[in-house]
Amino acid sequence: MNHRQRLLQDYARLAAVALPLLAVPFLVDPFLVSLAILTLYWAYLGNAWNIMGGYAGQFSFGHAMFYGIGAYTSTMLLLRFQVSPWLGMLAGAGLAALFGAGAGYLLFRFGVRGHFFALGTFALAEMLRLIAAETEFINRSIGVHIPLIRGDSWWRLQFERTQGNYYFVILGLFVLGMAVTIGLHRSHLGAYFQAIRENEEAAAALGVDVLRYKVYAVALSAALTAMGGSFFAQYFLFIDPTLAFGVSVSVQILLRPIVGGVGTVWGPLVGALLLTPLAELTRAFVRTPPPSLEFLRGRSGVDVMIYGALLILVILFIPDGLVGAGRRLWGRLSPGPRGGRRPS
Amino acid sequence: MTPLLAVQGLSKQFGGLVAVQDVSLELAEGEILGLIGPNGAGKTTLFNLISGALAPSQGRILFAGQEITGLPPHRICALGIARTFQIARPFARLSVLENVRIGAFLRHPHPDAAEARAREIVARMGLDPYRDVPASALTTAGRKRLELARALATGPRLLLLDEVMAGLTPTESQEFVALVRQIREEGITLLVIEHVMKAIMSLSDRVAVLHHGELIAVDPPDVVARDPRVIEAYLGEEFRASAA
Amino acid sequence: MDRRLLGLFGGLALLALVGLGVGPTRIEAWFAANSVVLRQAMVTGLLIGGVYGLVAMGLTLIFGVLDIINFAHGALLTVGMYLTFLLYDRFGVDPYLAVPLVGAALFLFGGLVQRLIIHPARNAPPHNQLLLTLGLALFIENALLVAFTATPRAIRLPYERDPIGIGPLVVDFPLRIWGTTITLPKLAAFVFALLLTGALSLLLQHTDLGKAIRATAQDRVGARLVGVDIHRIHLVTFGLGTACVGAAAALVLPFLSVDPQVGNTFNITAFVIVVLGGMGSIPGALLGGLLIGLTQELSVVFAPGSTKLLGVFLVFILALLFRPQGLLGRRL
Ligand SMILES: Nc1ncnc2c1ncn2[C@@H]1O[C@H](COP(=O)(O)OP(=O)(O)OP(=O)(O)O)[C@@H](O)[C@H]1O
Ligand SMILES: [Mg+2]
Repeated sequence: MNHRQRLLQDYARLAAVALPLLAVPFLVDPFLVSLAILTLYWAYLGNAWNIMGGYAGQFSFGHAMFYGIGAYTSTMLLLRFQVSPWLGMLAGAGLAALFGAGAGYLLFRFGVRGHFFALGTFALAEMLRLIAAETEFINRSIGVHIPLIRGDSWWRLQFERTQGNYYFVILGLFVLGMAVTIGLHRSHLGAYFQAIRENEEAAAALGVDVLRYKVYAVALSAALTAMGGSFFAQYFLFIDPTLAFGVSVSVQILLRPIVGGVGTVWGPLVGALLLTPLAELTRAFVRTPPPSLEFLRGRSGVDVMIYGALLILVILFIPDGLVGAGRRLWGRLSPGPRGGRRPS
Repeated sequence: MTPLLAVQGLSKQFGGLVAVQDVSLELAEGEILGLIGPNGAGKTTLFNLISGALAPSQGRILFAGQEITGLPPHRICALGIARTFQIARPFARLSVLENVRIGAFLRHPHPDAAEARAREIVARMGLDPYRDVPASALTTAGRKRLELARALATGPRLLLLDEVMAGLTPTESQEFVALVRQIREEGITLLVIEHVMKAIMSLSDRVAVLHHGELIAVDPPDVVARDPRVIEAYLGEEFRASAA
Repeated sequence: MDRRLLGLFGGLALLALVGLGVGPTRIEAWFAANSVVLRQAMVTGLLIGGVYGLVAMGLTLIFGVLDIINFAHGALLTVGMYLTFLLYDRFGVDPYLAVPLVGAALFLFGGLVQRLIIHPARNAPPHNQLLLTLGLALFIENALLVAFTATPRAIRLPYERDPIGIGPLVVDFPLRIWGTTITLPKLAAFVFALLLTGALSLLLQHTDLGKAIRATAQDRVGARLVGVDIHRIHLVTFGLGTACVGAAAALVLPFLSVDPQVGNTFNITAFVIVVLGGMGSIPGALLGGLLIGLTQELSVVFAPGSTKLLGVFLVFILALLFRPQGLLGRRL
């Protein structure tokens, strides 16, 4: 099979996943639609993170910086200059890519690696949060509301009547993100990213411009992440420094791909399919607990507590993610040459 | 004719330690030059300098008449110098074929072309049975072959081999010697570090000897074998080793 | 290296230029007008910096020996603060008496955490360990929220304003020197934190356990070869690191109210200090603690209205870029 055929096969797989998903809003009730929106949204963001954190192996603990840039850019362009959020999304993506490339260049150029790189990205995101909270132009820590409009508007990316439209938007973004990853996975760019992740010196000795490709990985990941931020702002119609740049955003973004499988095409989606309903379920559980646990009703913190515990369990028992675990299981069940199947 | 590689007055200090001192050396196109010397003589450091992994403290390096001193490793590789690592550095979670493909992308940007080239080299290196297993699953001998395969895939004019035969059985190293000869047949120039004396003496056109960072001899194998300074360098080490 | 220095000097030159632009006389005038505020900020910064040093020392131990980023460090501090609060509230235990009690309790708790959560993941990729400690932090924080609600709790030392006699000398509190005010709880926290830091350094330098810990930090494989029980060292080190945080918790409660989130700031600050001081360096942790305490307080003076952490992060990024090995390098 040549490159083209492989690519087509992968895209066909993606289409096979995405096309049936188009029917979801017509089949299920609004609660499930909103759950589906969240799931796709986290899968999309996880996928964006995975390009940098999974494929290129540059573990980011501060993806909120890109997300927040996207959220604020589209929002401010809309509020101050009546620019459509679609264009704002692109502007935010460009800005985040620039910021990411600049920050990445500095950190990489000065040889910041591993734990230190993770902490550096974390600090950058926190700095942006603190700066945002002091900036008059974006209403400091109070945050910005996107005014409600009557009815639905694709131009303004706001749907009052048909919530399902948000679903189609995020599905479209998700497919776009996945298509980028698949293209990457099959191209020399993706191969270079992985080589850099495995061993930088060896990659450089084989002609890979390590610094440049690391910066590319950051910029690409940043751009996609920022678009997710713009989507969130339009969906939630409110944004403040913590929602945009907070630590929990960074954590949520990287959680799905890690639980699903770092550096795999489908890991982020698989992780999102597990974790997002899990988070909603624990929340629902606390809202209406079984009679024996009645004292938990309405107590704030219980849901996140359970979530934290589940997170620990998942990581302890599925250390290489669901996709990896699935592959191992598959390998044990199906006899054949060891590792004969190419990962896809 | 300009030499393919010319090293002029090259030195490298690590703090107070002089790892390479004032080394000058020339390689003609198509030559196999052996590089020997006791442990810690500075051989690998010399490779690191030529391949751009380290910047020299003094001196110049010319490749095909062009100055490459201080260029980053990927640029030097693109110009046509490839190297292997003494301690193999496979891309552990990528398959053997994918490992080699990374090198092949340099001259074959299209994925199909790169893949075809990589398959060819994998087959030639006798790695076909392991083509699709992760590189981490290879044995030492397999890893050494993979190092060579990846380097070859970059389409070099000059190949730097750092102890590719260390830790191999006699049969395996004989196969390697044959492989290296074959590579030279294709017009690739080689600079080969080796501790296996028999192999290096039969393989090389000339042998360069490093001792405490200094080049003490560059001569045909039979001359080097009789050179008192060389014998002294190695014997000195053996005496120390047996005394310790 | 050269490039780093160049960048550093470039930055300094830029600062000088900005200074010239603002005008030397104006700068002088500003300093004159703010001299009391500045002095107070420096004193407060140094005092709190001592406690930061203790917290960071715990983190740097764990960092250096187990090579993990422990994101639950701050949450463990919160646990210690609630523990101190309960001891005081229910049983009337003086917080300074609680220092060894809470320290010991958290030593055990830390050991338990290491055995149950960190140890099983020792061969997993590094980011898994980070996420495990993160999950733990989420769990602890929200468990505390469930147990204590978000209402801040504070204690007040009954003898906070009593004069203290040291021999013939009688010291009034709050102490006023050099135009600054020093309260008893802050001074006590500083002194005790310094003493504990010193004690721990002595332990690391001179006991067999300390030597084994240092050996493990430098070279895990080598330490195992000479017969060090690595698993035990990991357990004890995590316990010790957590005990530091327990002691610090008891020390800060008299002047800092506790809520489930209070550890977060400490957590972040401790990371900055560890990177600044040099990962795994005990003197580095102390020095970094003092520096960050100063930075934090001074940044509020120089950039009024901004939060304390902004200056801290700026220092952090600069430290990452220009001195990634830390001020005092790796020397445990
Ligand atoms: N990056 C480095 N930093 C400090 N010292 C180094 C570095 N690389 C090599 N050295 C030192 O330089 C000297 C030469 O080392 P080098 O690896 O070049 O020797 P070698 O001839 O390849 O030895 P061997 O036969 O054992 O591979 C040694 O003393 C080594 O410890
Ligand atoms: Mg060597």
